[in-house]
Amino acid sequence: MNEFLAEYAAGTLPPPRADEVRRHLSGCAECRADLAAWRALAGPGEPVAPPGPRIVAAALVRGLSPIPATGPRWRLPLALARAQLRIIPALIWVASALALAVGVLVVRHDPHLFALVTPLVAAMGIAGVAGTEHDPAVEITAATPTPPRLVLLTRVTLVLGFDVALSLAGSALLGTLGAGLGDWLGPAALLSALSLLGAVTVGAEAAAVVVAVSWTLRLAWSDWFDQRWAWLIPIRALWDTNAETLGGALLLAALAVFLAGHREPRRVRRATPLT
Amino acid sequence: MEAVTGAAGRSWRWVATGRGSAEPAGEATDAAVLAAIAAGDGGALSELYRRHARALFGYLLRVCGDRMTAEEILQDTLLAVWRGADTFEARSSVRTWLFAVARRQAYQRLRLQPAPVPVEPAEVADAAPGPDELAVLASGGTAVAGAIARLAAHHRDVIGLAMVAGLPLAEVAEIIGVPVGTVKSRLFHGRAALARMLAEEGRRA
Repeated sequence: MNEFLAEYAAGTLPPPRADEVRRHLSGCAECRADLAAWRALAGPGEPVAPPGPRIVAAALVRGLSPIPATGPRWRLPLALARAQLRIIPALIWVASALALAVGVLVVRHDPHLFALVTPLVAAMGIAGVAGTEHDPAVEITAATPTPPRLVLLTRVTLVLGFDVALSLAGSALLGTLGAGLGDWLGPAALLSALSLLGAVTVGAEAAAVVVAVSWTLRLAWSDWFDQRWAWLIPIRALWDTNAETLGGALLLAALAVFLAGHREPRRVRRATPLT
Repeated sequence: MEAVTGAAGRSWRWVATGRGSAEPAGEATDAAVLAAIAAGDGGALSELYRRHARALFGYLLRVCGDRMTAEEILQDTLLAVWRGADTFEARSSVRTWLFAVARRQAYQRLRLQPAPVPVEPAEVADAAPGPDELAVLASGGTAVAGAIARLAAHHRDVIGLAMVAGLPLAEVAEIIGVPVGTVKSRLFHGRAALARMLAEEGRRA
């Protein structure tokens, strides 16, 4: 009889068996005590009243709001770009535009000098958005399922897109669109990649310093250096627009993106759980 | 019982039940109500809730221990039913499906909380509770409620489904995905653990 008491207490024993148990219970005190213990499992006293029908309404209201995860996949990058646009400091856009505008004005008599301004503006912009120190939303972003690499790529793409568009406009204004592009594209790519790697590994300020120092060295480079240290000539070639430069820039950028998802966003050990 | 085809998907209200169904005559079967939910009828969701609210809520309350969390999981469950009604394939009864949905929602939410429970604690060594221990348990009261909240999750799970929601053991087994024998042994071990816990508290007091 013992094995049916649980179901009997729950009221789920089929009728013929239940009648049998009922008859047995009337003559067996031990089983009656056992039954009482099973009944106690169902909970003390009156069953708790479930919430009223309003809970259905609440669930339906939630059902009306769109499910975030099921939209078309291309919507995520767009939404991410829009969200990042809101939190990238306005200073970055203003400073980039201003620096390029001043650059166009200053070098209008020697358009080839424009190539000295563009890489610096692009690289400084990258340092500004790739470092997490000045990202007001970095903690919230780290708490979302959005991969940190995707966030970094979005921010970098936005700023690079803006700077390249402005630089192209500047080159067009100066009338050097065809030839001028070759002057700054390679150096801008390499310097930006250096800046990205620096910002991800050692921080935005340090990246800015690295950019400034590298670019100063590049500007100060003269034939005098070449004559003294001939082995430096291949390194100098890196600052032109060629396949090696662009490939190297891509490699550095890829390394930076890899590290961005691999390190603590705050660069404080064990500040966030990484998977 | 016909599939729901009426205007605005509301015909479940007037569909007569087939023979041998659990619902009173004149009411649609659970399956018809679920079909109406799949067709986008919010009233049908209210109807399904009305039919199973007490059992569902009792189960969730037993599994998670406090009313607030149970209500949240209940709402999650209703939302999951609303969104997933069209995935019901009638391989089980609607009630089984409903409780399986609720159970999944409960585990999804509670998994975020600490205190992982060992999958199957060493239950082999458990001695059956003695009559004294069972007597303490049978007296019921708030002490029992407090002790139930401290039971292992897989014990509260079967107790909630079988004893509170009042589901047949075969259905409990189907919902959890274990043999009926396992459900029975978990019930017995759950009760034994509870009786021991209460007896120990009684000795300490």
